[in-house]
Amino acid sequence: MSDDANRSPAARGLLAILRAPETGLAVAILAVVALIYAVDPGLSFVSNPAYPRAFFTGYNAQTLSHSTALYGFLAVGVAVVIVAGGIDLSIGSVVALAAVVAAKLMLDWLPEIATAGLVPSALFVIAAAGLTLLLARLLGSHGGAVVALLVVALIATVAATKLGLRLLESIAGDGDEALAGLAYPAVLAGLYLLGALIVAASVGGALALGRLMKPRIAAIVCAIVVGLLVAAGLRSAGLHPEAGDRELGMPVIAAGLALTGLLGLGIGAGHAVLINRFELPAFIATLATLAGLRSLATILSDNRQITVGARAFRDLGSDYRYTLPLFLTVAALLSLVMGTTVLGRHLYALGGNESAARLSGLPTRRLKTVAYAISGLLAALAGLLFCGNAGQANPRMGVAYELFAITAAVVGGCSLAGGVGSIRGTVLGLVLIQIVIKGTGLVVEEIDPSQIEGLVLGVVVVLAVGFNQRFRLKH
Amino acid sequence: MTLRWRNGAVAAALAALATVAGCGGGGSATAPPSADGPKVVFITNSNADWWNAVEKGMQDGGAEFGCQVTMRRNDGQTQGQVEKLREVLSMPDVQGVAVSVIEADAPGVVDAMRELQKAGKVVIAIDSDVAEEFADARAAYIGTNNVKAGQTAGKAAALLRPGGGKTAVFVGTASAANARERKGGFFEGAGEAFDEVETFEDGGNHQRARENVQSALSKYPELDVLVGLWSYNAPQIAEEMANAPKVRDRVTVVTFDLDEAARRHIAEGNIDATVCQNPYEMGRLGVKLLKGLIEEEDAMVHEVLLDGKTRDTGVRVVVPSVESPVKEGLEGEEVMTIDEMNSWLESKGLKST
Repeated sequence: MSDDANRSPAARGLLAILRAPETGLAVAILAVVALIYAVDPGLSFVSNPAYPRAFFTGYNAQTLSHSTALYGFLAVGVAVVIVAGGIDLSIGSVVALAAVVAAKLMLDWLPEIATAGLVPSALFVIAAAGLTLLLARLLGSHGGAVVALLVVALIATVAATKLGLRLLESIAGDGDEALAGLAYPAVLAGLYLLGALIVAASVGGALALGRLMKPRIAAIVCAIVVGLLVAAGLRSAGLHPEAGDRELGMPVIAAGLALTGLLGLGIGAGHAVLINRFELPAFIATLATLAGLRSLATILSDNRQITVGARAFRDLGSDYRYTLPLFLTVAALLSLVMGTTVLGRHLYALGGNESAARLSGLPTRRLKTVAYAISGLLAALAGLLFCGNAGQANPRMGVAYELFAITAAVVGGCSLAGGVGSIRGTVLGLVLIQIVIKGTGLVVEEIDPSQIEGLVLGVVVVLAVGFNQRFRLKH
Repeated sequence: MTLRWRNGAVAAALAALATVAGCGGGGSATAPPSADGPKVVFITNSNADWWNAVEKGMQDGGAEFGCQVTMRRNDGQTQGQVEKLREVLSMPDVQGVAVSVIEADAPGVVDAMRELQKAGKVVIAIDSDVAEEFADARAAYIGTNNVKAGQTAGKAAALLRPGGGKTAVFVGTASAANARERKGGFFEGAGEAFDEVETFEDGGNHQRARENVQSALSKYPELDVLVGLWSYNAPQIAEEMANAPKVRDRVTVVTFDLDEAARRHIAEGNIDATVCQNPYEMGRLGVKLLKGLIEEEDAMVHEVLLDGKTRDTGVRVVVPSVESPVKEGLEGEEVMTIDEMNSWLESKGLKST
């Protein structure tokens, strides 16, 4: 009989909470923040609470949440794959390829196809719709539903944020000062609530609509929507083929985003094909695309930077008021999917023991497709955001981002052996890493932060994973 | 039925890929090199926007002086540049090479340049030179005198902020020759009132460059001056200035070169002054010099190099408007407004310089 059985239910509950990796991470985050608070002014921190602390400013909170959100897309995506017992090394290259393809689509390809005539345009629209159908088929009804819900939730988040910002501007008038004090946080909280309601209503609506339709009909509806988006993009691009990078029409941007999303899904599904059909180990399959996709990005861009100045596109990636809600939406939805749905439990089962899962009748091949497609989609979306943030697509961007994402997932409690981990934990792991990196940069004086941060990060990884191994996994 | 449905979808997907791939070829093709004359290759250090202007000058020079020109863009790594130089070694028809040396004293690059010379090819350095002790590895150098360019930037900063202040410097690799020279020159030109608080390195990663600006603003709330030494640092600094108008009001931003993305920021006043090299002229004169050296036309060589082994293509300072104190105050330098620079760029068919 184990020790736990002798304890009271309350004590067992408390132990379960203490043993959860999220608790350890939250404690670690608090400890690091306290350390940063104390180290910056040195020993005088007790006597001098008013010391100006660079880390504890509104501006730093903004920049910290911005970069956490950007890298967060990659981390939660790879966490799904790791939980399902796989690995995705191609993320950094997908970021570069997605950025290049999106920029080329919006600035060159869509206008070129639109001006080439009706037949190429029609073929292109049909091809995009066909690709959507193929992906829907590969993903199956559950996987397709999750991807569709993710996309709906993201669109709703962008719409809610746009609406919220516009409302805020009209209320605030000349500047934030007018609303300083209590009113401003209250207005903000109200807007966030409104935004969350819009997102929840959209997801709920999509879910209800999906329930009414047979999977095949739903797939056809998705294909028609994508086709219409691309057709609208082509039409808009054809009207102003020389619009330049700063005056892109909304339909062109929407078509660019949709096609790049399809590219990400396609790459993910392609990984699953390599792993399922050709029986390549996941490490090898994604290692091959890590090299190949970056090369493809270099070829497509002619190894040049491509400047994208369109404000509507750039805001999505460069303004933390967009990136943070987008990331939170993705993380919340994926956390729900992984924690509460049948698909989520199946992914854990697949990662825990693939043979047992297969023998129990789980569709392991399809589950892998779903996991890699989600990772590919999120990496492509992150590529779009990074491109918006820099205002440039560059085939050299995103180098080694896969390692950063995997580090966040592992620190967050995911086991590389599969079957263990959570989206919550990954987000906390990411926050811990970001705080450590940023904090080191802001606190350390004598040594160049870029030189020491790798060392600090390495120590954090060893401590976090060591702690997990010692106290959690054996239970 | 199911099978047919799937086949249709596969065919449609392949058609999509084919269409996209077809567009890719058309969209990314460079202008064809001129058909006659000796074949020369330019090898860059990175794939920055800046090289587009060199490429344009190189192509115009190819047409003007009769050379077949191509540019090979490196990935920002020393190893990549060594491999590119070795590739040229295996091309018997290439007679001249212009290389932007990625690290002034990288033995691998210097060795590869010497091997090219041994194979009978003319090698010159462009934009970024080898260290003095390796000067024999190239026949000549065309580029900017980076110490002087740094001094010009420093003088501009002193005019913009006579009281000086705390200065943060942003760069890809602080140890690169042009970075060291520009930074040294900047503080010489700016005077003692300017204190360097920290140099932030990004290793060529643009996302990191942006995060460095954010870290600097958090870490040094009293920061007065931001200096971007490499061309892509400029839009990254300016982007953050645009996001934080209150910070923008109290700091001075001085950068180097003019990326396509930075043009708008200068016009909007997010950058106070930028010291632009003349990459177009580097490309054009590079071709002229290579042609002269390959065909041993001393007059042509003399026109480019005048008397020495190096040619400084000079700098121009770009400011947002005529009201800038730099416009009148900077003696002995060519100072242009962004509107004047935009007109010049358009006349040359360029997007950046």
